[in-house]
Amino acid sequence: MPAGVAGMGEVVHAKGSGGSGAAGELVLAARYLEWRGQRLRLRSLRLSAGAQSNINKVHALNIASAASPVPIGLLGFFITGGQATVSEGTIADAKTAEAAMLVPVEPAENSKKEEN
Amino acid sequence: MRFHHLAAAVALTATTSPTVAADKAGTKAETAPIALPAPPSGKGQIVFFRPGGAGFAIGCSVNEKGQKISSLGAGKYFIMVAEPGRHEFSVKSEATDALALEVEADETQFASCKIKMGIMVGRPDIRPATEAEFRAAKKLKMVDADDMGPGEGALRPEQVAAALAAPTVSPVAEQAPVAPAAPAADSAPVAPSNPTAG
Repeated sequence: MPAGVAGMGEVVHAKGSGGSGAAGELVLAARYLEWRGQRLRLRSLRLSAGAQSNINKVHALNIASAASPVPIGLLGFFITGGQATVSEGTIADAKTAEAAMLVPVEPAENSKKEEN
Repeated sequence: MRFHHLAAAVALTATTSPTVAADKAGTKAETAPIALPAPPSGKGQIVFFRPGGAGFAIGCSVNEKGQKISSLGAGKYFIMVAEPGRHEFSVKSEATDALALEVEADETQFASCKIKMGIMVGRPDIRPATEAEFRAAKKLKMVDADDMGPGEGALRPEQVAAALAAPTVSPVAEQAPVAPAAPAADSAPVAPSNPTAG
């Protein structure tokens, strides 16, 4: 199966980053790859979006606020976490969900190239 | 101004906590990695955990379809066995947060709950996590059976122990006890030599 084959995935869960340091969330699932009219079902997509949570930073700010005459802890409501993004071209691991027999890519042409 | 400071103090007390004293008796056992059983054949499992720290007094009760699976106190974890497919979980206090996961057969997934800053009380934040995050969390203990929901969602401690004892599960490698070193041979006292005057 050549690289660049089209497939189907699904966004299982998505949430933007929020106040109080909450990070964005993204859960994706791979469904299948399609090649020459044949579908190869996929499962177990492993992809870490890696959004940064700032909840602990807000807690640290609150602790600092307790020792300060200025209520700087309230700023924590406006601190957001990182967004969960998966950029184009990201390589992810997934498993095949079933056994499949795939026809090799044009074996006749490959043998001609080897002869030459 | 004074009101604002009071509000900040209220928010602080709702989300922060003093350091929980370590259980000295169990310190050694806690350093061993937590053994997770493999899910039953054809089913998946999710490990919910909550790292210790702020908001220890705020509950993070995990629910699915309106039914409680288990409470999740600070520094606790529980294992839920589930059918493969999409599952939606929610946690609720002052605000509700939800998480959907795709459970895969014969695999383990992880989700964490943290308490973030709220207006009157802290707000639970449930999110997908990784095994590395679970392993990095210090001193996690399994939720007590009393705090688990009435259904069969969360595995009871005895169920986890039985699953770990099953022959298909590879036990966690333990370090072999180190043999005590042989005592050093006592050296005979050396008589002081008399210095000779030259």
